[in-house]
Amino acid sequence: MSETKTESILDRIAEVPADHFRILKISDLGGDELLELSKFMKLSLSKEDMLAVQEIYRGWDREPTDVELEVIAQTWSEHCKHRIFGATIEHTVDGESETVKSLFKTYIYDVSNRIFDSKPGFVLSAFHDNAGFIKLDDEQAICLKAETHNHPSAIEPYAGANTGLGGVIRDILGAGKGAKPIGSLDVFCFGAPDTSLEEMKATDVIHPLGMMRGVVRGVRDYGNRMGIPTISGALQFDDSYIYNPLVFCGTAGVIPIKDIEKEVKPDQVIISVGGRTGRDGLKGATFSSAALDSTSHEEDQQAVQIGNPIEEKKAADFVLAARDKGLIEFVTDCGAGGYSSACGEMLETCGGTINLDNVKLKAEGLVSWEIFISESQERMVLAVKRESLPELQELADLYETELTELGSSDGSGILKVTHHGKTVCELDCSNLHDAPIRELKAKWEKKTEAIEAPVLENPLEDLKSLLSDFAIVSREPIIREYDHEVQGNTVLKPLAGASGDAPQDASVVRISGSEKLMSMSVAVLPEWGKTDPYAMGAACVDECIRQLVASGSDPDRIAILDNFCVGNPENEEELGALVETVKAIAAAAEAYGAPFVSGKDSFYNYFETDDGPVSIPVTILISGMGIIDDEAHVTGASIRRDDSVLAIIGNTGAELGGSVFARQKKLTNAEVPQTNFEEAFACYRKYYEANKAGLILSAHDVSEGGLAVTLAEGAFSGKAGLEVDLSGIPMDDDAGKAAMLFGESPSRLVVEVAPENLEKLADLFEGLPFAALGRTTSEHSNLNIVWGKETLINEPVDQLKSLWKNGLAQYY
Amino acid sequence: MEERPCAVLLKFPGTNCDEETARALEEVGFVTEVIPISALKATSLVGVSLVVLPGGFSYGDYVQSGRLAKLVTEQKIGDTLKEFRDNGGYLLGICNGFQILTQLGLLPEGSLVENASGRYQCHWVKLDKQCATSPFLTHLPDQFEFPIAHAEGRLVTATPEEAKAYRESGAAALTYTDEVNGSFEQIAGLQDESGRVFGLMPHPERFMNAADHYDPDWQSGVDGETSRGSGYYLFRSLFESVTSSN
Amino acid sequence: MQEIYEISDRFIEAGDANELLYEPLKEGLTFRRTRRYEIDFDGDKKAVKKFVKETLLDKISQEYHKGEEPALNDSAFFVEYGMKPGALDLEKEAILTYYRGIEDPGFTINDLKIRQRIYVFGKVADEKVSDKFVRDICNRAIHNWSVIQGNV
Repeated sequence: MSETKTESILDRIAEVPADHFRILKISDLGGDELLELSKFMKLSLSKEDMLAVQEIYRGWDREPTDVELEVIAQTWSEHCKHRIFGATIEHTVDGESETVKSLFKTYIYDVSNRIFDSKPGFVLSAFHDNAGFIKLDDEQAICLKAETHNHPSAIEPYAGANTGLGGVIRDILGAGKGAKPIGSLDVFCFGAPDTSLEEMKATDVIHPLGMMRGVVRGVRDYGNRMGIPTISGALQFDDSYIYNPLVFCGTAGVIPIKDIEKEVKPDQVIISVGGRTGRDGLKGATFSSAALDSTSHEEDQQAVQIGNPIEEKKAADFVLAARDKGLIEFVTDCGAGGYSSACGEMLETCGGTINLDNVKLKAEGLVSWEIFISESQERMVLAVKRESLPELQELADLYETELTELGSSDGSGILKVTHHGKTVCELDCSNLHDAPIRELKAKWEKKTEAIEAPVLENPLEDLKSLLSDFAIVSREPIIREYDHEVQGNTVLKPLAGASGDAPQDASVVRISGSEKLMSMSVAVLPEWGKTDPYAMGAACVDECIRQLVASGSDPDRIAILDNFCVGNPENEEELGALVETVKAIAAAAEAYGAPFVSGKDSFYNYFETDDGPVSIPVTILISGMGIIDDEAHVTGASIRRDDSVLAIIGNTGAELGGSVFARQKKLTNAEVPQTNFEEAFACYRKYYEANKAGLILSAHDVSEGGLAVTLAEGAFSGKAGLEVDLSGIPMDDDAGKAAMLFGESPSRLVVEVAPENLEKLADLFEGLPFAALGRTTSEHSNLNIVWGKETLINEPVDQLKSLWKNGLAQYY
Repeated sequence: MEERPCAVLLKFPGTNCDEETARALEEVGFVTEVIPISALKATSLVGVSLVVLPGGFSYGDYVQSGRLAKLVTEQKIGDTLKEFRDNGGYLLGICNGFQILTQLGLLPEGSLVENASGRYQCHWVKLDKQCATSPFLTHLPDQFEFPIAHAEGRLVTATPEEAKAYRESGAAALTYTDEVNGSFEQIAGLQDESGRVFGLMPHPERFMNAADHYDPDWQSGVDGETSRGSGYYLFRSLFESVTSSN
Repeated sequence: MQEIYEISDRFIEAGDANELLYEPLKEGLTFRRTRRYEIDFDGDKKAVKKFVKETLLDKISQEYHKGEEPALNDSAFFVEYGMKPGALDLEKEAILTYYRGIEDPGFTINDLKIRQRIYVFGKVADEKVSDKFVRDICNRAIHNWSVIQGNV
């Protein structure tokens, strides 16, 4: 941290009009010097970006301040602007080239807009707010947002996950004029918890078990204290995640429809509530204050941020109370970019002045840009009418949160920032929207081939090793650490059955003030994407929607989110895998009429180990929210009775690629199942009709581990034994027994029906893949699966359940 | 028209079960008011029949659950809650509220410490009613289920004999059927000598409807009613006790 | 002036030390935790003691130990750790916020340090064993720590 080394580029070009900001003479710099400056200031802007900035300032005939450069860097950052999703990509698939102009516009935005148009009044807001809203009923709307917090979690799992969840909760509080958080989800991708320390190829990497414990406790301590039930989640384990774990956190909210639209108008007051601003939010980027004053470098301030859930709870109570009193004109959260992003977003069109002297600081001595971009946690920014201030102050006192007046809007269209009596930033934000478009290359070549169906020597042992696989074992030790019932509305819980420990697909919560309920589910299948990213994208959308429909949701009123994590986008194959995944989720969304209402992407998820870089496989999390019209439609995944009939919806194919079975048997490059969207969606609509008519007792989606695992999981409810014959199920001619038992063909559901309703159900599914599969019985408590006269599996359910139930518990 | 009794819910920074608890109280007939601690005065309880300390994490549970809430409450209103009890008022503490009531000395002496598992535990438990005359439990069967969600729910007393005495005297009005968190004598809920102060770790407000149960086929069987959950009967019992003693 | 209070739990038995580690050891070690409050203050010592007993100690489930000497004996070693300067210590914030609200506490807190101590019991082969505990318990992104070998 010594500043006595050779003079930095910053020192060479800086003019220091006051000791809290600088003017940087960039107009005469060459491209390389501009890049050097960007690197020195950690702006993450490329040479092209810096040249574009230089052009803008030449047009204005002046030089930027350091504050302005920081604001532009934030505005143009990957995090805020999604530069890679907006890039022009030359993509080659199996030798054929195409040009994709903006993945976002082509495959997410345009596709979703077509769906919006086809379902008027369903999506009430998408893409421009902190979360997208869909209509719940005539009065209320619901929203969902998910984010990743991978790199902070890799450094400090507890704090990283903690602030990750805290951040996404603020997104919900900052959606519309403030939505109320009603449920959270978490999805983690780690290295296996039994990874041996010797196998780890890098020092200074936290062991997967420590990662898992830390991350879970981080989510626990924030979510539980906020009083938001954590109801939905998934876990994936792969060696590639050892060095770069993925931590997805999401939260759903509810809002009165009248409070969705928000607008900043001239002469409103900009206020901040919640935590104070400090250097803790600068993520160690304190270089520049040191350059200003070489004695002021503060190594100790470089600690990772830790969330303060009670601070956020107080701010949340304030925001929701203020909204209900009609005191909020606009609200947004302070996330990446801190006040610069929040105020920038608010004053983007209206313009206004922020006075940094007003900001309440945790410590003295912060310079202008530090205050403006600090990402200190637990802050919300609001625009309010001046006459509302006294009442807002009363509310702030009541809920014991700090309210600070930051500035005001003025209609000028200019974002002006003052500090110590000087203007430190004056930007016309409308000039900043056109960041240079990146140009990237991508390619994908088919990696899979038809393989000979493996011979099953001992299906029971295969089933047992699947039930013990980390991809399938019960998440119970984690779920128990989360309060999934606070708010008293969780109808379909993450665990169910006679003893409350059997698996569930989607989760469902009631919504106060409505007859309707919200369902929520997640799907993540990284193993598929390693060899067939298109199949992965399609199957993730399918699985998410299938789980929502199974729980009772209307298939025509589902909205989804796409959260991508990618390794190195400059690697053509990794980017190629991303393009293929995006194409697939777009095709699936369009076929199912399930629009994207929000999404996020995270790049550079790779790590330089001692043996070279390790990238994560392209990973997509599809999370979704659905609407259930009536509590009577809510359907769980657990077997309920001992005299019912089991039936299967959907076709079983021969492909084993991507399955947990294939990974265990090392069937690399086996073909991965594709999704037949039209047939699947026709089935889902029929299922919905059947469920509304009361024909369905329970329904469990067939996913990881295939049909055998699905049946076992259903039986884990402890209510009955199962007798199943696979010989009559809808399947492809070449599907062998391995594919039938353990293949993961998408779009399949196992449903439980009363015997007297089977015929009605079969009639409904006329022309679609559907067949009775077996029955539940009180005669024994085994899982008995036969193929005609051949017994494939016959084992006490208890034996199977203990493998599944204790698989993770012994490590966690 | 008959005037409905008023229940006040105290809300500390970090209290987060106030809404659903108020909803449960309203459902059985109370009028409710949530009072943030910043606005609490000794006079706030005039005309109030019941004070509820709902669940959550008052002041983050830092130092020890309920500790800072106790200290701040005493700073704010001194002995008002004790006087409220002595004047015939009812007090209910759920989860964090139980921890606060214990800290305040409104319940038999004891302390709620970290679960024996060292973990936060969110699951359902079976409970045994140990005091049939508790005004909070009259409508409940001898055994029923509630969900729990806590990290510090292990009730300890200075000596094991004290806990045993609570069990024998009925002060331990509610016990876990199975070993859950290491509580002495498996105590899940305590009442004071008047019977009007009751604290429990489980969350009755999360089980107002049969559909709240994890098993979709669960039914209470009470009075042939099928749609109510066991939590409803706790609040119903309380309401009837409050209205009949008014 | 400085006063040190180390608070231990009466009812929490020594746990399996492998719970703290990512890879289990064969030594069969056990551990106990304590919390140590280092209070720098001006004013009345007795007022500090009263504050500690009212605010930091649970008289039913905990015991306090005043001064420098470790509260627990016979450990193979103990790891003492806490939040490093600049890292948010939520418990400390909560205590100080409450302290600031007290009318006339009788002393002024200049600084409060909260340290966790993990005492590990059992026979350890050498001093390297404690490195494994440090590695799996402490994180330099937020903590600082020290290890004291042997404490008989």
